[in-house]
Amino acid sequence: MKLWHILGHALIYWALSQLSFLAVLPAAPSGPALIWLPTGYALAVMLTHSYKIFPAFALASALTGLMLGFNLTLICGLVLANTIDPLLATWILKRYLKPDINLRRTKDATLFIFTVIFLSSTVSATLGVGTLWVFNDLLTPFTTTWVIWWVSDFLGVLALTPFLLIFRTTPLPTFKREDIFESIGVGLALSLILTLVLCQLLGADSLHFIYWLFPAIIWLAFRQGPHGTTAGIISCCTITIAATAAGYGPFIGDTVDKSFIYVQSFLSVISVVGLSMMAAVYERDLAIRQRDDFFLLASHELNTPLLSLDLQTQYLRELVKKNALDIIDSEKRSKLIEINAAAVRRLIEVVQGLLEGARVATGKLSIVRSKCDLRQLVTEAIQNDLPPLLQAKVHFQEGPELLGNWDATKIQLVIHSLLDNALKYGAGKPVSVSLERANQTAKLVVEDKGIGLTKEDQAKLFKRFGRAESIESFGGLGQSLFICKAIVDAHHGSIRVESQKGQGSRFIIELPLG
Amino acid sequence: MLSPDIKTDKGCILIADDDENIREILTCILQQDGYTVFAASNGKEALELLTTSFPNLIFLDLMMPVMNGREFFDKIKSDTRFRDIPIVVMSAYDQSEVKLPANEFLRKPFDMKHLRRYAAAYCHQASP
Repeated sequence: MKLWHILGHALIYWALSQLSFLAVLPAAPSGPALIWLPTGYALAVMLTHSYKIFPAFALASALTGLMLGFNLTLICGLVLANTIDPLLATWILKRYLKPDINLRRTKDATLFIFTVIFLSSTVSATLGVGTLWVFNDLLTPFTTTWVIWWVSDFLGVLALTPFLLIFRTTPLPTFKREDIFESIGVGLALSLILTLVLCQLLGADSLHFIYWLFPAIIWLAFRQGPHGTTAGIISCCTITIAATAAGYGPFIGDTVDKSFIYVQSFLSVISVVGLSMMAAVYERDLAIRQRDDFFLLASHELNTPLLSLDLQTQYLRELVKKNALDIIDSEKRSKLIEINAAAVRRLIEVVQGLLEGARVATGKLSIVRSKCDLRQLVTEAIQNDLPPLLQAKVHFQEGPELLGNWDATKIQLVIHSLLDNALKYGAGKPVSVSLERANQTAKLVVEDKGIGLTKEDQAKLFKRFGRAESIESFGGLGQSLFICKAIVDAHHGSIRVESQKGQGSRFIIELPLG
Repeated sequence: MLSPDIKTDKGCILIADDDENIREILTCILQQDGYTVFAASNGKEALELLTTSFPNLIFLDLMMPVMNGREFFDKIKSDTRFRDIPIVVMSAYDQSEVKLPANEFLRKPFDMKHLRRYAAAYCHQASP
């Protein structure tokens, strides 16, 4: 980490802390800030860069404490509270959201909101207010100060971090002219509602008109995507806090505490609703895109054998018409029949894959168990399902008889899928299949020496449509391993992959014997 | 490979498709019509065949392992020796989705008469 990097982030953090100190209630000009923006910035930087940048924020916090006239012990408490907060949130989010945090996903947005509200800000408020309390530097009751610290801290994160993360990591969509008009329209509507409410142009008791903001925020989530939503949230927070700090609006309560609660509660709800809607809409759009991609892929998979059958039919029809069937000798006729059979087999496989994928996805996979031998199932899969040319590429070390209470058809589907993948991605090199008994389990290993998989590819391999290679290079519906995993799981077994890019892949299945 | 014993002097055609059955049946039809046909299962094989076969026309599938059709297309269009060879792209996708400046486009599944029309048109153009 370069020094100028640390100093730059420290400077921005410090500037945001000074900006936050302007966001105070007129009744308490030297009181706490309504929103604490530096933590939001620190978290965004740590999530996009590295947590190793934390000295920058510790340095800026110390400077802030020094300027507030704190003694050394209080400065240490402040530094600890302000640094642990983003560090803890970063650690949790990076640990549970792999490979990266994407606030457009519901899971990520939910964990982000939960972590920030209930964990990192809670720890920060407890450490910060606790230090002030221990050294008798609290001007208001412990609970009140704790709540204000807690809310202003997570509010700063909910408003600023998603905005920075989305604009830093997600490319801006291409705007059409009507999109720009729509964005301006929603922005104006948002500003108009806030002006009407905050300037109390609809009467002194205008707080209930604030609910009009929700359709605007929901509209942003549905129509303007993550960039529009996060920009809308931060705009709402900025305008509301600026007006409240200037003494305008319905959030000014009888007491300072009430004013804090009103404005912070409102902005927290707006932020949480906006972020949740944004993630839900993104996932809906993603599901629609995946469905459409799947239809395209499925039509391609069906088209290939259909083309083969269609051309053959056209060719034979023409020969019959010309009474020229004799030009095809018996060897060629056999070859044509082989082509026909292969195309039909492929069509059956695609249709079976579609059906099994749908069954697994809807939780309707049924297992009919009977006593069977894994060695026999593997032998049959190689001899019956693979054409002779591919059979020659498979080296099968038979191993012992392995009897288990399994669904023979489903296990054969798993074996077939693994062999198919190994041959497809095996770069034309031999594929080895081995069987062994390990304690009370039957172990099947299918290994190729082909293109291999990166760690990132391995992480998504067993998910539905979890394709590792581009569809421009390899066909398939992208769900065979998803089906395999579901089948193996239903047998209380396990499936895993060991692989390195360019070094081939080794798929290992373990099934309980007996 | 299916190869009826037919005179093959109408021109030379290269087929690049990863599906063995499609390669077989296309080869069979075009050979019977009098073309010399070479077939490759991926872009890399097709590139190797180019240097020995110098075809008058290429029928190119896009989805192929090792080197896909798009990569093959870019390679030969940047090679002065081969960039003038006409290419007919065969794909299950729409021409608008494929977005490749090929000479012609055949959407799978296609009629044999379109295959023959392109073969005749481009091999005729190329013959002296």
